[in-house]
Amino acid sequence: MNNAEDERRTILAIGIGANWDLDINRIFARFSNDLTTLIDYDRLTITTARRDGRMQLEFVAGMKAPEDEIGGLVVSVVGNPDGLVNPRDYGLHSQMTVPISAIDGTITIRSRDRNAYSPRHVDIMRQVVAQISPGISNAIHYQESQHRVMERTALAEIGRAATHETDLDSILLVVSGALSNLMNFDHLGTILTEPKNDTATIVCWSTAGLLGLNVGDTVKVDLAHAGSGILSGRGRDPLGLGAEGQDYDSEDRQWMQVPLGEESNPLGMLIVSSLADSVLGEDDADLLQRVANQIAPAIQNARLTADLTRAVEERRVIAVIGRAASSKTEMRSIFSVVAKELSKFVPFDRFVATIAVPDKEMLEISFVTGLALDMPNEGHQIEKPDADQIRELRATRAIVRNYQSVAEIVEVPGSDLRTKGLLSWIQVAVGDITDPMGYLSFRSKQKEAYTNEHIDFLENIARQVSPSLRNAQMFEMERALRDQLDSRNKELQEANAAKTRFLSTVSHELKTPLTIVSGFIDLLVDDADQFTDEHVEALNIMRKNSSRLGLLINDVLDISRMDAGKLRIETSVFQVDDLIVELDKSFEQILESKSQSLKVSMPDSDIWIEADRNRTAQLITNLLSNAHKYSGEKSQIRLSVVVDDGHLSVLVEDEGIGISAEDQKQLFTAFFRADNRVAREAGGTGLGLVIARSIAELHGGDLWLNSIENQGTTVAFKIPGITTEPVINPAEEAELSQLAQRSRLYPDTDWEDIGETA
Amino acid sequence: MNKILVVDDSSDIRLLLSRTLKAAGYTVSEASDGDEVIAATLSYEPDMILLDVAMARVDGFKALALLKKDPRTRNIPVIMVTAKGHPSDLETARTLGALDYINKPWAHGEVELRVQWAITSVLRQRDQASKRSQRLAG
Repeated sequence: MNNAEDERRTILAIGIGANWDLDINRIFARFSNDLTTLIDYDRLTITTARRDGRMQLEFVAGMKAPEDEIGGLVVSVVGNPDGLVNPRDYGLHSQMTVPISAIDGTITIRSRDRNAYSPRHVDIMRQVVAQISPGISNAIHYQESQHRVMERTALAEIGRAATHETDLDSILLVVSGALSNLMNFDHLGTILTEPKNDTATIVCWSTAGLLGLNVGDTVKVDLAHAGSGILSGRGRDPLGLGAEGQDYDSEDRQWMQVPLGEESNPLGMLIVSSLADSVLGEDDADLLQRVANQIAPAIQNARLTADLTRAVEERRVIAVIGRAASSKTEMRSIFSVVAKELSKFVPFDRFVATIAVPDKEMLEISFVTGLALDMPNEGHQIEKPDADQIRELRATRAIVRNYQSVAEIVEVPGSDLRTKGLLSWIQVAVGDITDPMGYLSFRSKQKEAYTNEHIDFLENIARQVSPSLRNAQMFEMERALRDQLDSRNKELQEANAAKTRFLSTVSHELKTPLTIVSGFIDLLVDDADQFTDEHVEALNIMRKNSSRLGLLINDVLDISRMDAGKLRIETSVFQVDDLIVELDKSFEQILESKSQSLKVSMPDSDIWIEADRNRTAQLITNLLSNAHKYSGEKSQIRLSVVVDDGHLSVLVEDEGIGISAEDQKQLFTAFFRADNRVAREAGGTGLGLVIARSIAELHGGDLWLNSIENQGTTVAFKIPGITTEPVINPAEEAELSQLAQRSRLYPDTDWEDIGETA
Repeated sequence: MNKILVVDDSSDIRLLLSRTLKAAGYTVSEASDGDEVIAATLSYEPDMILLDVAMARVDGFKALALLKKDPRTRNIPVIMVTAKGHPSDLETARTLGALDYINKPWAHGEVELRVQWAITSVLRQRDQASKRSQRLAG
């Protein structure tokens, strides 16, 4: 056997074995095994150079050292390319290393024998490496292409998610899943900048509480200076998040972050971290950046969509509040709508609405909701904001206080803002900012709860509700005024009712003594023949005046019935001309006392009417008696009766003193009498005309008066009810004549109407 | 000669009515409250009663009801006298069986006329009723 020929064949065989395998580890294993037929060794290692130039252990065969870590960094010292710090400790005395260019690495073999390797061994080794290099190259290319396929698949998957999903959480979930096959990370997170602030929000964090931050937390961050790339080493503030110098302690050893979107003004950062050292490489950074580029537009869209949805919802809420406010007339209800609708957009634990008290430098608390505080509550009045606060309000459109800790909270005297931990406060003005009609004030336990966005939004709300609030305020003031008037009115009504009751009671109490006086006078008059003429004259004066007193009492009773709305008429069909004749006759004696004459003119035919006979008689009597009282001696009084269109009109004209235009205005006021000598002498209560007109009106008619001072007065009334003579059977007629006789005898006594008010 | 019972808690009114009716030829007896009415009526047996409405202990309406409940006094005509009355009071009086109603202050001669009318109308009714019953019997 030709040793050299065998050697050559073995070398070729090793090369062939490597050529048809695509698995690099299997190639290494077969090679290390086959090599033993050519060269003895106790340990074989293969290392490759990483992008950063440092060596990484890829394969170990034979003796293994405790520090060997496949995939780990090789602490390369000169002469020890396999990382063994002291080979002699393991009894390894010989070593040979050859480069393997296909993988930019080296193959090192060691032996316990001293001087085990000669240049010939080196030559054989070079030949073997040359034989297996194409196979290794193939395998590496294959592996890389496999990786690229996986990468492309992952990116495609992420791309698809980015296109189809509209919410960030879903997109980032896909990112996290797809990347886990390609990258050796333990945590993945995203922080997104707040569009109007220099803060960022943690959106996704594959492990809760990483860096002591949770999803939804807001951190101060200066992303433009946070940089990108790989940061290694455990320590504080690995992401440059700690603008405030906060210490973000973490177990993670390696960090990698890439900007989402434009590097100079990123939407946020995509972050991965690993608990192990040296697992994230430049490849990973490239891949992460590609992923970031893939999802950035989607995040931008999702954010726009969210912004848009929010904007639409904001508009809707503003409209809802505006509409609801305009339909309410109570300030409380308006604020209640505001509180309900706002809660979706403005975080608050307590909401207080105040309204300026007109003509006072005070605010009244008109609505409180949320957390109960030891503070002035609804209905209480508080001081207006001071000059500094007003200045602040004008400058920044709102008073905003964001306290970092409970100790910083500025207490309102006597309140417990600190105990309740209300760290944020915002107050906006309602109405004209130079002279606000009120304020909307919100407090929240959340730190830095109020931003410029809230100011914009609340300003809008304040603008929406201010007209409605102004109306409601006016309405409430008006209602207070009306209530006041109502109660005053009620008092007056009660006073009037009391007066009516008093008049009624007194009048009735007067009746019994009057009955006794007039009754005994009548008895004396019946025995007139026993008295002297002077006695009889005195009796007649007494009788006349007691009769007048009776009439006055009846007038007062009628007025109190009128006031109580209880003056009634009882109609029957009667003959007007008969009544006129009767009255004419009964007035004869009265008129004679002043030598006055009564001229009656009426149609020749009978006049029948359906009306209250006693009240009609009372009405005409009143007019005649006034004409008599207010006319001079020997004057003429004319009474005209006209029937027209179913109505009866009665006019009484005199040539008396007349009534001044001024007095005419008050003529129909109860108890009014013209202030003149004649009126005083004539006596009377000033009730006659008022009652007369009321009687005419109760009949559905009217009474009016025309007078010229010192020339005379015409009073007329017109009532409906003209009818034809009723047909009466003889039996009824007898009864009726009996009744008629009674009523005719005593026209002044309303015995049919005993209507009572008490 | 017809007998009239005057019931009123005012002695002055009783005196006035008494004199007025006596002057008109009636015989008069008096009672000063509603609770005396039945006893007075049973002992005096009046042809007609003038009954005041407002009395201190038992008012006129109660007294009227008592009179109309008792078969011994039921048929005696009653005229109510009052200073104070309401349409519903008038209705009450009619329902309870009063024949007429006099308002204070009354006119000269009104009391005599009403009393006379009441007595004659009652007599006429009784007359007609007895004629009817005679016709029915015959």
